Amino acid sequence: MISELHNPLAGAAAVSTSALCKRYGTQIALDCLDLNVPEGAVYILVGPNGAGKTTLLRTLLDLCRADSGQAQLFGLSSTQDGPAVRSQIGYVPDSPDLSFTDYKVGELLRHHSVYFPQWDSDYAKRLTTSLEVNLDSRCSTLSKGQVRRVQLVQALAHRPALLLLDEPTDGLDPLVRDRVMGLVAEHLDTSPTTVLISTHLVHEVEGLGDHLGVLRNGRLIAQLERSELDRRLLVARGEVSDGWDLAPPFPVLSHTHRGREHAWTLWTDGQPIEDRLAATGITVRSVESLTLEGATRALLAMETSS
Amino acid sequence: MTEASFPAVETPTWTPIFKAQLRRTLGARRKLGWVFLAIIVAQIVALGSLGIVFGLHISTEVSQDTTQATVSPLSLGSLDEFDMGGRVDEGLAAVWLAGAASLLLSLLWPIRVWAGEPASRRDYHYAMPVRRSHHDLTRVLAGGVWVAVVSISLVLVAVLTATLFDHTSLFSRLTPWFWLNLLIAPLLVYTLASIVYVRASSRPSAWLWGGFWALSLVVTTGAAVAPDLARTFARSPVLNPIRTLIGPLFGEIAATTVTQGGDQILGWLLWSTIFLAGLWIAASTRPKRL
Repeated sequence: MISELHNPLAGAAAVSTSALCKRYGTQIALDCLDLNVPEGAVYILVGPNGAGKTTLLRTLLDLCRADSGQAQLFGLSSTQDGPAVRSQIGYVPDSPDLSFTDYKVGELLRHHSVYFPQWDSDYAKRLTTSLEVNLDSRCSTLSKGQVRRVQLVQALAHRPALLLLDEPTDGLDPLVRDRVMGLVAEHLDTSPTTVLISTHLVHEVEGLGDHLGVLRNGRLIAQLERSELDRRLLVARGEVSDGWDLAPPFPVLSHTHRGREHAWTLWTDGQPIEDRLAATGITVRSVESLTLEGATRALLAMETSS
Repeated sequence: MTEASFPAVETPTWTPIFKAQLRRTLGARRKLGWVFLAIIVAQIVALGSLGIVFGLHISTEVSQDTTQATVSPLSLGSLDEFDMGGRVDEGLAAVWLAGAASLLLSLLWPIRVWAGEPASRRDYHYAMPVRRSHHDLTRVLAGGVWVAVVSISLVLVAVLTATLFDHTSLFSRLTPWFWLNLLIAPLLVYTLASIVYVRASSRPSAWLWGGFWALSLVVTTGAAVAPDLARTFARSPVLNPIRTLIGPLFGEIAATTVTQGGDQILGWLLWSTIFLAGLWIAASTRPKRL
C-alpha cells in the first residue's frame, strides 16, 4: 500500500467521516472509512458495484446508520443535526424511482419545493426546460432517464451547498448525459457548491472532478486531488534491451509489455522521471498522466494485487 | 483538515408541510376518491330504494286503511337491534351502515396514505430536511383529517337521506355518545392501523391482519377458558378497546345512559392515549437497517 495515496486534503472539509463502519450481517459495507471532501471540491467517488458507495452516501444523509464512527457535514453531525444537514444537501439517489408515482411532475416539484425555502423557481424552470422535463407527465409514466432528470431538478433547484449524486448518469442516453454534466458544470459556475459524485462509470464524469476517492470492499484505497494524481500517477512507455531485468525506480502499479515495448503505471514523486527511467536502461517513448478512468483502473488493480 | 462552517439557510416551517401532506394524502387517493364517491352514491341509491320500497308499502297500507299508516317489520338480520316494537328504523340502519363503512375505510386508509412507501422504502420522505418522526406524524395527521371528513360525510349523507324519507323515529333516543363515536371510532381505528404502517419495514398489511387474527384467537380462547372474566372485559369500554370503538354501534346505542357515557368517554381517552403513544413510539423508532 502506498501511504501517499491518502494525502491529507487541503482546505476546510465540507464532508468528513471518521472510522465509519457499517455491516449488513456478515458483509462489510464500510470499513473504517475516513473520507474528506474539501469545501468547493468536485469529489469523484469511484469503485466497482458493491464497493460501498451508495451506503456511504446514504450514511451521510442518515438514511442508513453506521455501526460505528462519525460523519460530519459542514461541521454538523449527520445523525444529531439531520434536518439542518439535509437542508444543505441536494441528493440524487441511486434508484431511479419516484415515490409519488400518482403525481404529475409539476406537482412533485411543487411538493418538493415546500421543504426548501431557498427553492429558486426560475432556476427550476430553466432546469426543466434544459432537461426537457414535461411537467404534465404523470410520474408513473416516466422512463428511467426521465426520472433521473426530475431527480436532478429536485437536487439542484434549491442551490444546496452540497450535492450528493449517486450514479447521476445511470440510465441516461449519451446526449442527455452530456447535457446533464454540462448543467452540473454550469451550476458549479453560478452556485458555490461542493459535489460528491459516486459512480462506477468514471469516463462520464471525467471533466468534472478535481478530487478522486477510490472505494473497494468498503475501504477507501486512495483519496487524492486530481492535480496530485495528474502529477504523480504516470504511465511510462518505452523499450528495453534483451535481458533487461531492472525495475523502474518508483512503485509500479501495473506493468504490461508486448515484445520489447513496455508500459508501466508508476506512482512517482512528481519530479520529471524521463532521465531516471533512462538511467535504468529504458528507452523512454512517452510519459503521460492517466485519465480519471485509467487512474481508477490502475489504483483498483494495485489494490487487487497488493 | 478543518471543518467548513455551516452555511446559514432558512428551515422549512410546518404549516406548508402539513398542507403539502394534506394534498399528498388526498392526491394519492384520486382513485380512492372515486371509490368514496361511489360508496356515497351507492348508499344514496340503496337508501333511496329502501325509501321507495317503504313508500310503496306505506302507500299500500294507506290505501287499505286510510286512518293509520304503519310500516311492517323488515328483517335486516343483525340490525334487529334497531327493532322498535316490531318495527325497524331504516334511518338508523342507514347511519349504522355509514358508521360501519367509515370504520372499514379508516382501517384501510393507511394503506393508501403510505402507498409505495413502506418504512424500508421511505428514502424520499426521510431525505427531507425535517425531523423524521414529526414528518411521519404530519403525514398521519393529514390522513386523519381526510378520515374525519369522509366519516362525517358518510354519516351526513345517511342522516340526510333518512330525513328526506322521514325515517328518523329512533334518532331521538340516541345519546350524543353514539353520534360522537361515529367520528371518534374511525379516527382511533385509523390511528391504530397507522402504527403498523409507520413502523413496519415490510408487509405492513400482513402485520395488521396477523394482529387482527391473533387478537381474535386470544378473545375466542379467553371467552372459552374464562367466560366470566371475558364477559367483564366485553362489557367494559375502559378495558375493551373493541367495545370502545364499536360498542355504541351495537346493542346499547339507544340505551346508553349518562353513566355508561362516562365509561365511554373514559374508554375513548384511555385508548386514544394508548394508540397515540404507540404511534409516537412507532414514528420515533426506525428499523435498524434505516
